[in-house]
Amino acid sequence: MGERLFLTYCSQCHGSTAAGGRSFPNLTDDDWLGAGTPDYIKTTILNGRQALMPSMAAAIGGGESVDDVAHYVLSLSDSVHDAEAAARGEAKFAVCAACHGANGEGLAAVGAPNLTDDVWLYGGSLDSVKHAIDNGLDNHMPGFGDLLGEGKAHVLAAWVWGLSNVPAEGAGQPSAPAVDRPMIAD
Amino acid sequence: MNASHETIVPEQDLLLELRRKVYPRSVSGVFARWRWTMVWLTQLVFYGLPWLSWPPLAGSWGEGGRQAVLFDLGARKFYLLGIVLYPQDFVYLTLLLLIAALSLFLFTTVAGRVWCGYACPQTVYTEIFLWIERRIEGERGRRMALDAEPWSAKKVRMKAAKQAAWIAVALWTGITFVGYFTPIRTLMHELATFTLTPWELFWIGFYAFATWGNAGFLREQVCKYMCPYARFQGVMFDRDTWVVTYDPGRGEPRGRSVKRGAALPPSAPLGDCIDCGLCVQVCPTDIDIRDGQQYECIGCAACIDACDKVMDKVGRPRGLIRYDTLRGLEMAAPTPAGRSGAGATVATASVASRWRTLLRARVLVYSAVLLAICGASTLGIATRSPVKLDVVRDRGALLREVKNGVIENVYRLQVTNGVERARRFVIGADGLPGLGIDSAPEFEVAGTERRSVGVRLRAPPDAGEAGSNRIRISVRALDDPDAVATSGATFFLPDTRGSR
Repeated sequence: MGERLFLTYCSQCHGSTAAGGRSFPNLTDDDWLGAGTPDYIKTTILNGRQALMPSMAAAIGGGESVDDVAHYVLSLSDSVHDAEAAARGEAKFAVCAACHGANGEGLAAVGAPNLTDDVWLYGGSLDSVKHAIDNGLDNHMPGFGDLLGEGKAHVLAAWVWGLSNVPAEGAGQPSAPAVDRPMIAD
Repeated sequence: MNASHETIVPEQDLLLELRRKVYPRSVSGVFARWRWTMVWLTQLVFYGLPWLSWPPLAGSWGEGGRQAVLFDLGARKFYLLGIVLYPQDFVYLTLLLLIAALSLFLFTTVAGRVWCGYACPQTVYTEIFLWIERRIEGERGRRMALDAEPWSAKKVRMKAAKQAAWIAVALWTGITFVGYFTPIRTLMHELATFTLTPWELFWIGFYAFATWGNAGFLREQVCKYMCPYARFQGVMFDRDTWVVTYDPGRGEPRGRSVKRGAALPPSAPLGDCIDCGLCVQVCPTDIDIRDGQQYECIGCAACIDACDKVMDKVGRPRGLIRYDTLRGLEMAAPTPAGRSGAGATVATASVASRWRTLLRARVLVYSAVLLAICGASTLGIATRSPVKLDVVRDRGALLREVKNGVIENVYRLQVTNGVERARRFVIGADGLPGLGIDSAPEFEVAGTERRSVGVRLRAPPDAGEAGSNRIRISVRALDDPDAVATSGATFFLPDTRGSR
């Protein structure tokens, strides 16, 4: 039932396999911008969420500095980057560390993503990172509390949480009956 | 202004024809035998089919057995013996209707209203109800007398018995009809335990009421006024169609002075018709066939049987009323010399024309088209794929970039497993270089069930053009490589201009 709710209400943005897309989070991985607990998920479903990153260009120093910081950010996750530019950008990362943490590992309390992993909600290319630094980000998820009510949101939250918390044994068996297991073949 | 005190319009001035109850006299003969054979055949099929199980002689249902002919509307599966049809197979119903229509045209253009007179449910059920009426109330004369009598205990008893029998037959007909949609054994169980569902109850009652009303009371009113087939069948007649017809050349002028067994002198003024009126008495639509072709005639040939018997009794040849073509009737018209030997001439002259009717263009064309459509339907059903596939791609998120710049598109496959046992399937995809399946490619679907399966396809970003690329997704049964369904789909690759 959770799956049917998901397919009806959530799949338009998050995709029918819940793996998301650009600016729509992947719900099947362990990477959460917040607590990632079932309550967190349920609150998000009911009330929606806003992801706000201010434009950091002015604070960093604009132009070339943005480029340097972008290379440094990419270096945190061992993505392809320019080592020299990254070295320059490391010093200017201080203003970013306020939200993203000193080592760029993110801060769940303010919803700042972990920059050291491979999950790039807004694109992991150099241009995408520079764009985020230059212009900031303002992402919205609408709240479904009025539409669903508490009960359905509860079932839905449980199902979504189950996507990334499949029990170890028998995980990902596509032929298992879909009653208590996500039907999405994984 | 009419100064008469009459406020009731005389019947002959009415614009409608007042209904008089028809009391058909019973009849026996060649065509009556044909009609009763058709009654038995059609009703054996109608009442018997729901009781067949599949596989044949299967034990109690639920152990791999089910009703052989069942239209499970709720589950949208239509079982015809070993075949299971789904809503996607609707085209076969269309073909079936086409076959039915063409068959009707063919039979009608060859032999007139044989459907109406022999096989139509209205005729069949009217025959059954009339038989009951005859058994309880008696032959024509007694029925008419009974209706004219004032009400008495005897009349109440007889009418009540007749109605009870009619209602029983009607109810059984209604139950059988619903038994094509709900398994009839389930219906029996529900009847015995008073647990019929509201819709079952409604349809049993509706169909029983319709049977009781149409066959018990409306009878020929349906044929005369309600039925559209009655009206347009006449359009399919031509001069070479076999119709039930009276031979006025032989029968007129009619009169009653023909002696039994006496040979008719050539100069005698009277025709073979002795005006006994039996052809009118046996007619279920209350017409006189001697008036010529009429649209009310349903071609039941009761008048033929009745007249033949009378002709036997008065020593004249049969066939005064007979099946003949209009052209044949003209050819059998007596020569000015007289009427003797007319019987033999009728036989030989018309036989040739009768058989020629089978070879005319209209009949050949109908037959050819009918044969073609029958062949196409059979071929279609025999070769249809036991797997059905519909691909529904994600619409909100057209594509997604995953690790290393690989592009992923997500689809949901609606797979219907057409056979009656569970089957494992494997997904295949092609159409772009480097196209691969990232989700689990194998899955199982229960028998006759439909399942929605998520599929993630991945391709390098330079595998094709920016925007949509046509690909093909296939689903193949693991135990039978020939059981495969393919559907076209589109794979979106990012537009690399101005990417962020």
